[in-house]
Parts: sequence; C-alpha cells; structure tokens
Amino acid sequence: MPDPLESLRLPETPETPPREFAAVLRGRLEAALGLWPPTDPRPSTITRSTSMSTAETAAAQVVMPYLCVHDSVAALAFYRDAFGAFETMRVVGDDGRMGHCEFTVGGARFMMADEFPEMGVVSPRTLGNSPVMLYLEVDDIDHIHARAVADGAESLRPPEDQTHGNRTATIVDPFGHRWMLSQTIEQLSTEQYAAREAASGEWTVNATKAPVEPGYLT
Amino acid sequence: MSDPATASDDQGPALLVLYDEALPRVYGYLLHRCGDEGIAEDLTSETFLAAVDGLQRGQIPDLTVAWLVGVARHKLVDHWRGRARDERNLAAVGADPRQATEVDDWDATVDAVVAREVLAGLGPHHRAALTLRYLDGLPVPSVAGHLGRTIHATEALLVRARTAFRNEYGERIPDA
Repeated sequence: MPDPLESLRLPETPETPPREFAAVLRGRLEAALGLWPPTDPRPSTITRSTSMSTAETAAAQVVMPYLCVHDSVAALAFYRDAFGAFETMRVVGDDGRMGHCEFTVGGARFMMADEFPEMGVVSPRTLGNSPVMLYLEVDDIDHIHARAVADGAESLRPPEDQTHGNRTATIVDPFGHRWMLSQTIEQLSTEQYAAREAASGEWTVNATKAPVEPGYLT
Repeated sequence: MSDPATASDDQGPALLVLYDEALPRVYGYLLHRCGDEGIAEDLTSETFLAAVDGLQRGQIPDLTVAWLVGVARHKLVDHWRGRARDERNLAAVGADPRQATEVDDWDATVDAVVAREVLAGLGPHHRAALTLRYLDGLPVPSVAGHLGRTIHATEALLVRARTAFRNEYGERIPDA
C-alpha cells in the first residue's frame, strides 16, 4: 500500500536569503578562513608597504575616516570589489539602517554609516559634493582605477605620473566620496622633490617639522 | 599550506567561489523545512562555518553544494534535538507501543499545505523524523544515522510520529 506521507516529498528549492545576511556571512567566512587581505574572487592589490597590516596595529591608527553613505550595504560591496576591503563589523538598527560598520583596506581601518539626517549625519549625495579626499596607496593603480570605474566610480583624472614620484588618479565612488589613488613609482626625498619643483617654477616646497603651533603637539 | 590555522590557498577561496551558488540552496533547504527565517539564517551560518572548520582540518574530500546541504541537514536535526531537550514535552515519544500499529492502513491523500502546518506543530523528534523520511525522502537507515538511533528505534519513532501526524491532521481535516 502506498504511504500517503510519501506525497510530502519536498524537492530542494533554492531561496535567496536577505542580502545583508548573505554579506555578513561572507565576511564571517573570510575571517574564519583567515583570508587577510581577501584573496578571492578578486585579489586585493592594495599595497601594504606603508600601511599597518594587522588588526592590532590598525587599532593604533589615531585618525580614521568615518564615512556616511546613502547605502552602506552597497558601499561595502563596492569597496570590497574595487579596493579589496575586508568587512569587520556591522551594526544594523531595527529600522534597517546601518548605524555603524567597519572595514579595512590594506590594514587601514574605516568606519561607515547610513544617513541619519535627524542627527545631522548626511552623505555626499545629500550634500551634493564632498570636501574630503581619501588618499589610498595602491600597488597597481591602473588596474584599481579601471576596476573602480567598471564598478560605477566616476574618473575625475586618469592615472598620471607626478613630479613627486607617485602615479595618481582621482575618482568619485558611486556614493560620492572622492579618492586619490596613488602608486609610488620613484622614491624621492623631500629635498629632491623641492628641487624639481624649483626647476619648474610652478610650486614652492617648504618642508618643516615644527608643530602646527607652539605647544600644540599631536 | 602548513599553517593549520588557515585554510589552504585553494580550498578557502573555493568555498567563497561556491558561496554564491550554495547559499540559496542551503538557505532554501533549511527555510522550507524549519519555516522560520531567523532559524534558517542561524543554521545556514552554522553550515558554512562548519565547512570552514572541515576545510581547515582537511576533512572535506570534495567540497560541493550537495555536501553542504548534507551538513545543513545535520544542523537541522541538531536544532530539533536541542529544542526537544529544551521543551521536555515529549510525552508522545516513547509512548504506548500499542499505537505503533494503528496507522498503517491509512491511505488518504494528504493535503501538502495542511501537512506542513501539522508538521510544524509536532514535537521536535517527530518533526525531525518525518522531515528526513518524507520531505527529504531518505531511507530509514539513513534517517536513523542522522538521528543517532538504531534502525529499529527509528522505525518505532516513525510509526509514532505518523500516528501523531495523523491525529493532528485528522483534527484539521476530519474526512482524512
């Protein structure tokens, strides 16, 4: 006699989980796998030569960018794909807004949140621009630049060799934040750089090691 | 890689490459059986983290979606086992063995929607046994393996679970 309960057979049916859950779990897996920086699917090419490279030393960074964006979940994905960012924390409110999240790029720590206009926290999209430039040292600027543009960033200035020994480019990411990408192509002392600028006559370089003002030491 | 604290160079990325394809299947498997998004998310996380653990121990010969779904099944059974411990309301399990022969003449057609509601209301042991046996279509020895019981005990559990199912089902659809 056929078993009536056999009709309960439930084939495996894929279901897409919440996007945020999927992203958080991916981050947990990357952390559990010890991928630092993440090596897959798109390898990070961020240089770590002048950046702090472990969580411990990154915590000693005395100033951290705290970005505000109109969509933190999408921004985390963009920074992951374009810059090899590594998500380390998310704090999501019961209204679905990202109250706080953290990620690292090349070991340098960043914080980020969604807009909270009621607290005066607004993003470049709301402001219409951003007065802050984020300077990111990379070791393959042409690749990173192309990748960021392919992922939706606007290129303000393509990669170009500069007199100070770096090859730089400027982009605005899809969330309105401005980044200067920089790759060192020539190691120059400040004196050598000053001499070059003096020769061109366009800029005058003064190097000083004095505090900003007497008695104020950072 | 010699460092046991990290996955080897190709295994870890392999899991991440598989992640996008495997995630909806693991999550879907769990969601359709436990019926609760929060629990499905928790068990999905446990499944993938168990895979990381297995990779780091070198215990996964062939990392596939099917293997991950198998891990998800274990996690689901563990979840129900934990609930059974918590709830302590398992009077039906191990109840009067005379019930054991009462349902085998049942040949009604089962309404799948009602059946899932009934399943969700059963005790964790019964729900686990019926899910593995009927929703997943596993043979009894395999169900026994997942539940950590002997085949004989599993057969008895299935009979009791079917009885409980039929009683509850009959409450909702008296003609069955």
